[in-house]
Amino acid sequence: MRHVFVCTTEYGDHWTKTIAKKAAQVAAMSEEERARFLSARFLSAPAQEHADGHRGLHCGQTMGGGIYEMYQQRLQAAGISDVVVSPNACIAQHAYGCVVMIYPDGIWYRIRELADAEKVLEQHIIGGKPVLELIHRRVNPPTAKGVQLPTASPAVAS
Amino acid sequence: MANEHEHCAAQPYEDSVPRVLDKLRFHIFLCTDGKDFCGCEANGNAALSGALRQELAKRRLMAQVKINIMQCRQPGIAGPVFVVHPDGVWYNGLKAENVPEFVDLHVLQGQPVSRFVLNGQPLPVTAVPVHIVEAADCCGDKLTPEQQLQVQTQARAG
Repeated sequence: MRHVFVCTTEYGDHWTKTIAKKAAQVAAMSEEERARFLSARFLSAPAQEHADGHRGLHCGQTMGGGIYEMYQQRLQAAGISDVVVSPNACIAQHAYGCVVMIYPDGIWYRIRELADAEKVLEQHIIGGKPVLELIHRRVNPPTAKGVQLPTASPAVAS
Repeated sequence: MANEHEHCAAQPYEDSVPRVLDKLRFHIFLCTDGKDFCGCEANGNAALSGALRQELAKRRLMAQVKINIMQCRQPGIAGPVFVVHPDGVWYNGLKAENVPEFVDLHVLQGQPVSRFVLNGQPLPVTAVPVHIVEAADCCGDKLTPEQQLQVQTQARAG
């Protein structure tokens, strides 16, 4: 079963509570903390920012909502029921366009226009072949093991 | 699309991302919705999220495990729901007090905590239940015309 995540922050009324919570967090910070918080995410400063620390538009206001709706419609029309499409919040990649993540393949696509989203739907979600030219990041494939911890340094023993 | 995001495309951030993703082993998606589809919020989602973040920070696993917010949209589920990718394991009803067990078993050893794993397959989100469509100003307002028609015919038949 494929699980598709489309970034839809601020699409519809679903994210109002989440955004308000984050905005309250940012508002409660001191000047110094706030500067550190913002610089950790977005390194160039001069643009206008949202109350929750975002700069630029939320994905849901630009394309994310449309992509999410289109995927719902198309998958239903094609009668495909083994794909789950979920709206997800920001993963802080919106400098590169709206991101569509597909698991368990572990591929993040950068979507700059609606045609890209259609291509991903047809080739990868329905067809099963990754669209190589649109790949933004690849996540490590699943292993049967858990997290590989670094080996403990022998100097710790007293 | 490109113009309003020009200020975000700072080089150091681009460099920092692959370094983060190289270590990544688990990408966890927590449901924060509790409005109509599921009961995730009412069943202690915030506590679960806090406990998970604290536990991971305590064991220094924040680089290997990434936590993200999504909406599960699984009708009739008590929750809180969260999904562990790329393994694709859906958890239902794991509470804040079970987080140490989850980290011990799943994150460190790669074995899902079987008594909390969701029964059966998750529903595709294209299936929108009738009560949501009927309720005002909620998730149903984004239905496509075909979905609306389908829901209406279902309501007439039932």
